Amino acid sequence: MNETSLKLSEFPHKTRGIICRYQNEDLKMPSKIIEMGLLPETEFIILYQAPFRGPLYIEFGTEKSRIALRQEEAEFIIAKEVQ
Amino acid sequence: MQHTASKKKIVLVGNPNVGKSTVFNRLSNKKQKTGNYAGVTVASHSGSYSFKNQEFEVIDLPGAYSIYPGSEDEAIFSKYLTDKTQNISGVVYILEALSIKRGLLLLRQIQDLGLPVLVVLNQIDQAERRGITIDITKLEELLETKVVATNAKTNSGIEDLKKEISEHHFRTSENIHFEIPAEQKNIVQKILQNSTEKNPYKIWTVLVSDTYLGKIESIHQQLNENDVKCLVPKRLQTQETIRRYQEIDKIISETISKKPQFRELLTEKLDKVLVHKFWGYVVFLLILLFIFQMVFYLAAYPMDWIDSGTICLSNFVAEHLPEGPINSLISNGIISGIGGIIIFAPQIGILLYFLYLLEDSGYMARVVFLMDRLLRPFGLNGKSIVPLVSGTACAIPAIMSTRNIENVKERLITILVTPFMTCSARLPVYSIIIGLIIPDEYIFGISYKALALLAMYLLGFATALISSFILKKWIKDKGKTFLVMDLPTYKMPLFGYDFKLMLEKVWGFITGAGKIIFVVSIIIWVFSYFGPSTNTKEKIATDVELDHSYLAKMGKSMEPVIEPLGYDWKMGVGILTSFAAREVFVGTMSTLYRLDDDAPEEKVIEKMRRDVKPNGEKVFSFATGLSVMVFYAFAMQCISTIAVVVRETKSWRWTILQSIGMTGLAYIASLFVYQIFK
Repeated sequence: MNETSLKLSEFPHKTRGIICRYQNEDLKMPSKIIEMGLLPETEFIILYQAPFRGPLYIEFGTEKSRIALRQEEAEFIIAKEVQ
Repeated sequence: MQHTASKKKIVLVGNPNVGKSTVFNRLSNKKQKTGNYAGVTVASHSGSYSFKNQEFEVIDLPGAYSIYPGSEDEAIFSKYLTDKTQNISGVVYILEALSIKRGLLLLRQIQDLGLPVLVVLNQIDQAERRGITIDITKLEELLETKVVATNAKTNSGIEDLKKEISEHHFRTSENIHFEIPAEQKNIVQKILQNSTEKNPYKIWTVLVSDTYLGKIESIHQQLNENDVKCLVPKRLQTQETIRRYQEIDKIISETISKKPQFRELLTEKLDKVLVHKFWGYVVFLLILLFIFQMVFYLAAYPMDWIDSGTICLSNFVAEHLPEGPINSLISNGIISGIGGIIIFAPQIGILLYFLYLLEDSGYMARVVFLMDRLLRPFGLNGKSIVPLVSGTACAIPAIMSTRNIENVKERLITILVTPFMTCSARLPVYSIIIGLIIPDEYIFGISYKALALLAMYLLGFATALISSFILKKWIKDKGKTFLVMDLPTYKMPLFGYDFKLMLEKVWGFITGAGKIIFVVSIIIWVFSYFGPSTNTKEKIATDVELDHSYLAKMGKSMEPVIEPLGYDWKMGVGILTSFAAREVFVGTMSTLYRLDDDAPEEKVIEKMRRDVKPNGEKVFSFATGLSVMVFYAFAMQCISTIAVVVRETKSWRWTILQSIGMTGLAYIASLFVYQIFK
């Protein structure tokens, strides 16, 4: 695995990233994350975050879908920067 | 029923925000039965149209991303598609040209359930404008369906769609696009042999859905312990989704080509401000302020016309009908009662129209994004802001809109506190009382009256927050809370369609409240026209003075309960009748004060202002007025809301607790307010 991989919740903003995998051993991750298309190998960028560590505003995929995701949900996703 | 047999039934399905409601609206331009609120479908609703002498019924289902439901509105959807599809002639599946990938997941699931499908590729022009080319012939081949390109906003392609539907170009795909994993194959095979169901994917969906998809028990009886062990619903759902997306990626790469760097310029630019850490909130507040400003200033003109019109009509009837009880009933009872309510239609209409526009444009999702973190300490979800804001129009659609909140506890709290928001039915009550007790003065160019009204709205909102905070500690937590939400691209709202929706709602309000007020007016009139006789020969006297009527007698018997709150018997009657619906208070007051007809030309509000108690005090003093407003701010006084809470919570216990809690709080708070300010 790439050594620079990070949780999405700690991922720098306004930086292009790519989803590597999920950290979901106890199956607590909402299935909606996958259903909405945040899949491994998807490119994304975190554009905004609401104040007080509020939800993340993420743009992703070839269709530039936008999604709001809480910090807690972002913990399930492991990503790395696009070189 | 023969009637339905001749009518072909089609179902509209798709992701949220793909323009499904627009297609629905374009298709079924006659006889719509809408059960929806601010722009979004909450319950399935239906409409119909005819094409080439054939009748079609269209059912619009709530949007979903997958067949496995995560919330109540998705459950409605899944149940429908798995249980009730026997008599439909086909599914019209709506794909948005800008987010085909996400849409194909649900499409494939529906095809695998064995349903006949016809695909609509909506907003094709938007894709072209962004330099995206879609090979529709190839797409039809890979999807194994007919694909009709439309732009529902400009109506293009809708005729083609009607033609395809009437020629029945729905197709059922022959093979299943998802191969059931090897570990579960045996179980599915075993059940297939013992069941009348012949579709292996249907059995799979029942096995891997944890809650809603029905008929689970009969299947689960056939499983032994080992079988159950390898059925972890969540893991299997994930597995299915990922496998399906692998196939979908292939379809996308073979059918869609685009310029490498297309951008959503409008959405990008707007969101720089609208979701900004600081300006986002400022804009939200300004939008709310603007709407409320419009509600009062814009509505003032039509309200004046309606008021004068009511007085004219009432006097006209009084003069031209033969004198007697019927004259008095119609001119004083019914016309003034109903007029007292129609006058608020403009305010309600303006409020609703703006809320529809906000929802329709895609802005509401941004508000959810901004508010989520701020509402969570109160046990609410960001999505709760939509019911809370639309609760300022009416609690009934607001409570229905909680269905997309996935977490059970957050949804329950939202349902329980939404009636605290100042709904438009309270507006008439506040307006009339503020008119009576707040002076017509200004501070920094803002009227005291507007400030007083703003204060009442804030009181409602603050109470909603405080109660959710208390409820949060009190209700046991069920399940995990999360927010995974699509942020749609901004769209120009459908001004005309939203206007139509608003008119429908306002008309519903007028007729709904009108019916109640009609009945209440008659009852009030009867009891105020007759009274106990002072003459010993007759038992009942007619055309008595209001103060000597049966109504006054009944009202006065309530006085021990309401006197500590500062109310006289008329207000008592008003409050009692407004347990049917709050706005009835104003209708009742209008009727009561019109009946006291010493000066028929005078407006009701003037009569109320002049009214004094036997001891010479004003009936509507500052303390009494405040106490009435506080009572209406807190009391659960709307039968329809109670009904919708029962339906949505499926619990009488919570409904009764809510009603008693709110009304008890209202009584205590009004008592304090009156005793402090008198």
